Amino acid sequence: MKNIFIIGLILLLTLPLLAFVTGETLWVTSQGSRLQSERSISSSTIEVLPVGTSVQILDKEDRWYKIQVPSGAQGWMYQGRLSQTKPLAESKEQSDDLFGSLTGSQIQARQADTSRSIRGLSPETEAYAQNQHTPQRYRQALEDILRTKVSNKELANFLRNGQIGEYATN
Amino acid sequence: MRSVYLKTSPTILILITTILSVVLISDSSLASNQQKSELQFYRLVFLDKFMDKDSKESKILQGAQSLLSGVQEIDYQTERTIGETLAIKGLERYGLPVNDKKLQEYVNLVGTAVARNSLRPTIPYHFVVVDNQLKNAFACPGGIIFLSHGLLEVIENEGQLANILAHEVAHVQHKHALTSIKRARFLEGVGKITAATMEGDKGQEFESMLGDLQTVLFDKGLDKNMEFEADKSGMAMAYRTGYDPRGMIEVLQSLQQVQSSSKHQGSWFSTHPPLPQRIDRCQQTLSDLPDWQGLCRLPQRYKKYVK
Repeated sequence: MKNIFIIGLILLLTLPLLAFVTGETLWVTSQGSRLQSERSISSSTIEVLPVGTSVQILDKEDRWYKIQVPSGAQGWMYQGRLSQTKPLAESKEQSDDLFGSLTGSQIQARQADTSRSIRGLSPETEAYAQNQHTPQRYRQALEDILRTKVSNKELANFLRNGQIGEYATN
Repeated sequence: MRSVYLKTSPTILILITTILSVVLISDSSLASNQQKSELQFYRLVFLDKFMDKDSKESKILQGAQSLLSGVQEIDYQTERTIGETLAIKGLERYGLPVNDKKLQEYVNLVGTAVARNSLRPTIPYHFVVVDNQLKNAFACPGGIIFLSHGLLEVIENEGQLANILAHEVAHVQHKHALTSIKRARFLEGVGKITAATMEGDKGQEFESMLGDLQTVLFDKGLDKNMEFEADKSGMAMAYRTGYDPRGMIEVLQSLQQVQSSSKHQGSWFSTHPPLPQRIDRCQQTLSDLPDWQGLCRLPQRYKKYVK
C-alpha cells in the first residue's frame, strides 16, 4: 500500500516534467502576432498574442510552428515571430490595428503623457542643439528622420508584395 | 541502511524508467527532421557552449553580462536622447539624408520588417540613407540607424540590405555603443537625462561622452566581439523575417573586393574587424541555420528603388 502511494506520488511529480520536455518553450517577439487556425496568414485568427508571451511547441511544418498558448488555445504561427530568447518589451504594445504605426510606438505616447513632445526631437536634444549652435538644416533633417513612420498596414502590404516570411506562397 | 536502500530501489528504478521514457517519447514526438535539426542547433550551439564554464563562449557571455549590468540601468529616454544627439553629429560628419523619399521609405520598410523580429521589438526604429560615397553603416543608441549611399551601391538585392540593417538593429538590441562608453563620467549617478543636465559641468561631461561615442562609432569601431555578435544576431533576425541569411556573407565578400580601391578612414573598413575573419564566422552561423534555401532575395525590387 505504501509502495503504491510512493509510485503514485512519483508519477504525479514527473507529469510536469513530461510537459516540459515534450513542449519546447519559445517567446513571441513580434508585435501583432496572431495565432492562426492554419499554416497561412489568410486563415482565421484565433488570438492576438502580445510580445513576450511564452508558448509551447507542439509541431513544426515548413516554417510554421504549431503552438499552444497560455489560454490553452492551439494554432499556428510563422517561425519568425517566435524566439528562443525572451524579448525585451520596453513599452506597451500598440493595438493590432492595421493602421497603427510600428515606428511610432507607445514610447512616444508615454512621452506625451509626461508632457514631452510627441514628434521630433526630445527637449533634451533641442537643448543640446541650442547650446551647440547646431545649424538648422541638421536639426530639421533629424526631425524629418524621426517623423518617418511605417504603419502596420504599409508593412503588411510590403511583405505581401515581396512574398516574404509568412506571406511566402511556397 | 541496506534495508532502506532495498526498500526504495524499485521506486528509484520506476523514477529512472519514467524519466528515460519521457525523454525518448519527447524526441520521437518531434514533428520532423527539420524541427529536430533546428532544436539541435540551438541546444548544441547555445546550451553546450554556454553551459561549459571554461568555454570561450561562456567567458564572453559573462564579460558581456557584467558590462551590460550598468548599461541596462539607463532608461530608454536617456538612451534615445544620447542617440538623437549622436545622430546630429552623424549628419554633420556624413552629410544630409539623400533627397529621395521613395528610397528612404523603402529602406525604412525593410529595416522595420527585420527590427520587428529583433529581441527589442517595441522601441521605435528609424533608418536613413545619407548622401556620402564612403561605404558605411552605424547604429545610434535608441534605434536611429544610418546607411551611406556608398554602401547601398555595393548591395545587390533586398535580402542583402535586410541583413545589413538587421546587423545594425542587433547593435541597438545588444546596446553595444552604450556598453562601449559605460565608464563615461556623465553616466555616473545619472539615471535620467534632463534639459538641466545638459548645462554646466554635467553638460561638459555629456559632450565628452558624446565625443567618446563618435570615436567609437565613426573612427575606431566597436569591439570585434560585438561585431561578431551583431553578425550572428543580424543573420538570425533576417532569416526569421524571411530573408536569405547568405546576404550578410555576400555583402562582406563584395566589400572585400572593393576594399583596395576604397577610402578607409571613417568607413566600414576602419570601424569593423577584418573581413576574412567575419566571413568565416558568418559561414559558421549559416551552417547552423536550418532550411534557409529559397528565402527572399528580391533583386528586382531593390533595383527599382536604389539607383
